[in-house]
Amino acid sequence: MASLFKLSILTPEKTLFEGDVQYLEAPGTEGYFGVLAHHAALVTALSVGTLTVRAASGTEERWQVAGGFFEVSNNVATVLADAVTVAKS
Amino acid sequence: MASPKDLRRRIRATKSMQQIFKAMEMVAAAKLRRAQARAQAANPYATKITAMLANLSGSAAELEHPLFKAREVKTTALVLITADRGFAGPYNTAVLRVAEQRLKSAAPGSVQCVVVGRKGRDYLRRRGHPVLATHTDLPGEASLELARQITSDLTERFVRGEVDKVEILYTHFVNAIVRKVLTETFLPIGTGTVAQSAGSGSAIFEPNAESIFAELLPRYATAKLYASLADSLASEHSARMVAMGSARKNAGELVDSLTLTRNRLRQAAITREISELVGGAEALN
Repeated sequence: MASLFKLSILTPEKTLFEGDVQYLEAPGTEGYFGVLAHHAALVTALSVGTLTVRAASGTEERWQVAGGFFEVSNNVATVLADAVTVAKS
Repeated sequence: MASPKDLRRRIRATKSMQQIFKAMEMVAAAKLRRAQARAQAANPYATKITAMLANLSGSAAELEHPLFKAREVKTTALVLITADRGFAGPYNTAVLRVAEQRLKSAAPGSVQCVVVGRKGRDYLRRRGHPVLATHTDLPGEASLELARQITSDLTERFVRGEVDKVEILYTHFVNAIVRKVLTETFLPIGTGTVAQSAGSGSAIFEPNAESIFAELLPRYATAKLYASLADSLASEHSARMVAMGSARKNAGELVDSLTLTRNRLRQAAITREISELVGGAEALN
């Protein structure tokens, strides 16, 4: 069982996702990066791209983000996105 | 004394007004629920971005950004958030009264307004106060698009040096009955607005703290303006709901008293007629 961390995906208008996840892949300004549980504290800006989340159950979900921020510390991760749409898989 | 016919007409008119008030009250109640949900949905983002900003300004030593720098205040822009429509009780007048005081206390010409909502625009135009920009024909729900537009307009003016300070005047929604008109400093995003916290300190910043800071500030400003818009909209609907509720009640009381007068008048007419008949019959005897 992969260890989990808490993730919330927030937009200025609403909370899009909140829950425990195994893995997150996000489009940083310096390229895509992946985050697993117990990641070192990190703050980074996001660019336009696909956000992939593997939930606790193992199912993957994708969203399109158009810039924003990502923060993780102490196994709590937050995506602050400017605009998000559900990506077609 | 009104004639029975006039009275009947007034009763009918008041009753139909009462129905309109009731309908408007219910519409406002429904819109209030939606506006409130929207305002609350914006909360997590606003809280988080504020925390991030505090964290960032606390951990990285010297961060500089034009939006973050306070300077000597010569001109102030005052953002007034009002409604497009009236019939909302004291909602618009409360904001405008505070604005009027603010304008009066400052040196003439040193405070200019950016006005949201038709009511505010009309008021300022009547009074001849200087207006920088107006935003009317507001969407029915708090719009992020509008918040972005106003924020980018204001930040540009601020960076260009047209204004040295931006304040927002809006109505804070406490609950369905209580509202508060608040004035908050919007720009510069000062150390006053962002509580300096020690933060985690050791976080990695990618690409670096400065560029994240530069990206974060405009978004923080937008989130703040959006929150004020959403808050004001909830206040507007709650003010309208309360105003329409009491209008409906007053109309009901008016109908009751008019009906009473009408019945008295009718009874008086009947009594008079009977006594005339009796008098006539007696005269015949």
